[in-house]
Parts: sequence; structure tokens; C-alpha cells
Amino acid sequence: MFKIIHTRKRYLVTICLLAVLVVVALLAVSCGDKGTKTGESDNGDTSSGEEVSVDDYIQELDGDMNSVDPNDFSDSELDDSKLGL
Amino acid sequence: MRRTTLTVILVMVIMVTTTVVAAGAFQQSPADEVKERREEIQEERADTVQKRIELIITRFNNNKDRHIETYKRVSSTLKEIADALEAEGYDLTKVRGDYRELDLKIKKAATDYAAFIKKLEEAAEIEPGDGRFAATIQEARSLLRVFREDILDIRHFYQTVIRKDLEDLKEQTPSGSSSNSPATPPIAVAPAVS
Repeated sequence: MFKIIHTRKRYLVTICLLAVLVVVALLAVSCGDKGTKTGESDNGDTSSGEEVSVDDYIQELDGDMNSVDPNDFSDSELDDSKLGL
Repeated sequence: MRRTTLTVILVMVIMVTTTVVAAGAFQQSPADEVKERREEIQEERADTVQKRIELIITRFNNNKDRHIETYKRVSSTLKEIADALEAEGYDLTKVRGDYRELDLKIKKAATDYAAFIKKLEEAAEIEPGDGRFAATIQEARSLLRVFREDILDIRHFYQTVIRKDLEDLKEQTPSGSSSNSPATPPIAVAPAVS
């Protein structure tokens, strides 16, 4: 009698442990999908509290200014050979 | 019999002569052929030049859009910096003046560009053989140089004035701050997403 109860108890403990493991695994997967990064809100936007230094802005502006070339409008763009003359 | 033969021969001679004369009348002289060929070549050339000018205009328009959009983006970023840092107690008078001046330079560049393209479109309507063509193209080239100067002026203004005024902000102590040590002022706003 004692042996049967003991076996049933072990069986229940095993089931509970498995259930806990499944729940933990599901939670991990769920957080992996929806988790947020530091400084980022749930909808993916950068939080307004993030601090950006003037150096960051200068770097961004430098990048913008260097993305275009004044030679796009050089004299050679309108020489006789380009016009087919 | 002899009269009939003579008549037949006469008729044949008349027919041959008429054919030769008619053929001669419709046949072009070598000079005419050269003239016609020259006209064809000129038409083909005019067509080629017109197509090339149209292609050049399209390319210029695309490049102009990229340039103007970039300089406008720089201006709006400056405004963003000014708004954010002013709230922190910094003096942004120079930066505000900078983006206003930049806006004026952008406007001037856009106006000069419109004049240049108008001249180029005018040239596309004139045949290359026409004396006015060379003069119009020359004017378009001068206007292109003016627009390029505008672009170089904007870039020079950014490098020598805007950048310096931004660097100077790092030396400022905001009016509301108790700290006396100059530091890179942080701005509590998100950077513009390009």
C-alpha cells in the first residue's frame, strides 16, 4: 500500500516538474519575441529620454553633407561630347 | 512596206527619246543628292542632341533633388538641436541664425537651378546647326557654374560656420546649470531617422 502511494507521489512530482519546465520554456520564447531593448519602447521607437550629444549630431550632419558631391554639377557634365556635338 | 517600217522606227525613236528625257528630268544631280544627304545627317544630329539634352536634364534634376533634400535635412536637424538645447538653458542664437541663413542659401540655389534648366530646355528646342544653339548652350553653361557656386557656398558655410558654432556649444555652460565645467551637452531627443 505504502509502495503504491509512494510511486504515485513520485509520478505526480515528475508531472509537475515537467509542467514547470514547459511553462518556463514558453515564457522564454514569449520574452524573446516581445522583449524590449534598453532605451526602446514596446512599439520599437527610441525613447524620448535617450540622450544624444552634439558630437552625435555633428557626425550625422557630416554624413549628410558627404552623401552628396558638388561634382554632380561640374562643367564636364555639359561639354560637347556629352551633348553629342 | 517601207513607209510602215519608217513609221515604226520613228515611233520607237520618239518613245525612247521621251523615256530618256523623262528619266533625266526626275533624276537628281550629284549636288542635289549631297544636299539631301546633308539635310538628313543634320536632322539625325539634331534628334541625337535633343535626346541627349533631355537625358542630361533628367540626370541634373535627380541630382538637384538629392542635394536640396540633403541641405534641407541639415537645416531641420539644426532646428531640432536648437529647440532641444534651448530648453536646457543654452544660448542658441548663432545656431538659429545659421539655419535661417542656410535656408536662404538653399532657396537661392533652387532659383538659380530653375534658371539653368530653363535655358537648357530652350537649347533643346533649337537645332544644333542654328547659330542661336551655341550661344544658348554657352548661357546654360554659365548658369550651371552659378548653381555649382551656390552648392559650394552651402558646403563652405557648413564647414566654416555651422560646424564651428556647434562645436562652440560644447564650451557653453547652460544658464540653468550649476556646474561650471564645460562638457558635451546631451540632448534629450531622438536623432533624426534618415
